[in-house]
Amino acid sequence: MAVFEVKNLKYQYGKQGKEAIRGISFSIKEGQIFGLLGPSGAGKSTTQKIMTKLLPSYQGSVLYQGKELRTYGSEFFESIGVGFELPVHFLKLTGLENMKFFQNLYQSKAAIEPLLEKVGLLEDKDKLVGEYSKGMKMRLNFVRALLNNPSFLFLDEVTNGLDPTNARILKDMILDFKNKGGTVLLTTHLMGDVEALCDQVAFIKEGIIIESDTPRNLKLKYGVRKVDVEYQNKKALKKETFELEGLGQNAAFLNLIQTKTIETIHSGETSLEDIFIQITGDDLHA
Amino acid sequence: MRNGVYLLKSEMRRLIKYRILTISLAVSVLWMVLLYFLGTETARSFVGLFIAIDATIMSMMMIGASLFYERQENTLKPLLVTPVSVGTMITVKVITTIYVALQSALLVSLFVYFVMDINLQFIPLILLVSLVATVHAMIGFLLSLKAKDFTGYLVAIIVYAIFFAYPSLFMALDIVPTNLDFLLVLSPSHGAFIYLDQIFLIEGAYAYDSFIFIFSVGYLIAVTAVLYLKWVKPRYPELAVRE
Ligand SMILES: Nc1ncnc2c1ncn2[C@@H]1O[C@H](COP(=O)(O)OP(=O)(O)O)[C@@H](O)[C@H]1O
Ligand SMILES: [Mg+2]
Repeated sequence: MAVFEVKNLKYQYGKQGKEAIRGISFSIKEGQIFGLLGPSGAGKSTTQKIMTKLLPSYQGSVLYQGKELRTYGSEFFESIGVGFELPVHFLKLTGLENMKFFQNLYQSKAAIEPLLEKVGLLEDKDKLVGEYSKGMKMRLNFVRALLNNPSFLFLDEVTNGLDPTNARILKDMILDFKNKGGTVLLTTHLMGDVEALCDQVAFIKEGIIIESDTPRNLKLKYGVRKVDVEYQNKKALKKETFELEGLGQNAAFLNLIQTKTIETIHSGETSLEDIFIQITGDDLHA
Repeated sequence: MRNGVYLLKSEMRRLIKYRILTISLAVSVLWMVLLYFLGTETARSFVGLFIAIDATIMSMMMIGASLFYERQENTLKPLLVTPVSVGTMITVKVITTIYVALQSALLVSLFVYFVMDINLQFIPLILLVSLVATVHAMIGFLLSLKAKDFTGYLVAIIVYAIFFAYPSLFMALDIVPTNLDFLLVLSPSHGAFIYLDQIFLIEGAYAYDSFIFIFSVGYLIAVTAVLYLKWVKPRYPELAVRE
């Protein structure tokens, strides 16, 4: 069953404001990590804000567990965890004080210190958050989202500002969350996050979902698997690319490896990033 | 309810941590020193005004400082995705404002009562200060919704004061004629300046059962209810989410 079913969702900031979401539909199945992917300003955070009831005046329908989001009261918030795009803490309270403050508002309570330990913040738990680095605040944001043992996790640009090691730790924790039965909506402009985590992705641009499928299907549909060969040719280094498909019968390829001095051979597949650019004509980091 | 009490305790603790209570205390001490040097006779006609300034302008400052500071820290937003209701969040901020206004009013009046021998009626004082602080907390919320940043908010307070508070202040000081006061009943701050002034005067111009007094108390309650239901509660999430 779909945990979230979003149908023809539209959102406009203010009466004369910009139409940030222009009719999107998607569904998130239980136990899935769903990636909402797109460049900055595409409408990812807006979509997450609508789905967490922060922006109530949307058009279209958002069903959570089969019921319209608007009909839920506080029980909705007991079941979800929200990781915000920017740090959300009291700067003059310590990391642990911040976590205790938010956790006390929920019925279900996760053990805080093991979570802090996993993200490497246990030693700094009694430091004021005002003295934390951006990366530390983002890790604390992530812990905050898990305080109430949620079954659904919203994560907005969760690896934002993190070094590769810490990004890895968070990604492992997200997979762990999924393996224990949790469902995740991950919004990001970073393909690396998506490739490593998502069961399903949707490409969003200017408030519209352009394509949605599993990463595997997208690669089958748009990607090419190829082989790059670098070889010596009259003292110069040359490079040629062949399709992986039917490589054994490819005469040019076979001739090359028989007659030339090969320096390197790399096989590769089109990354989701290449596919995104191919579909939208947009650079994600522009 | 359980969450409300907890939230209130945390808000109070933050009031101390962020030194807001210290600032309020400093203002009270300033008033006390000022009143002491004015001498009993002059102080009698000023103490009500000082308390009124605290309950009106200071209450608005409190709400604004709390909202803009928290918005800067981005801590209003995460509260909105917890099981706490918006009504509870607003109520907690209003109660904190009342607390600070009462603390200041009581400190100053206990000082003039014991040290300067100025008589006053404590029960009407407590009730009036609570009511006035509540209305001005609501007005503070409303102005926060309109203002872009804290500077814009301060400007809004000054403009508000020029139209709604200063005329009453001048009237209480007999600078403008008192027979205009029927007009000023429509200003939510008017009651604060006129009635709080009366509390410290032996020959008060209004009895607390007079029609005009009851009318203006009813008016303050109505203004609070309308502001809360029509603007503050429905638009609070928007204020919190705005970046
Ligand atoms: N509070 C707001 N008021 C007006 N416009 C906004 C607001 N927040 C976002 N927008 C606009 O809506 C669009 C989508 O923004 P957002 O959802 O934050 O994008 P993303 O998260 O994909 O980077 C952008 O054009 C942005 O400028
Ligand atoms: Mg965003």
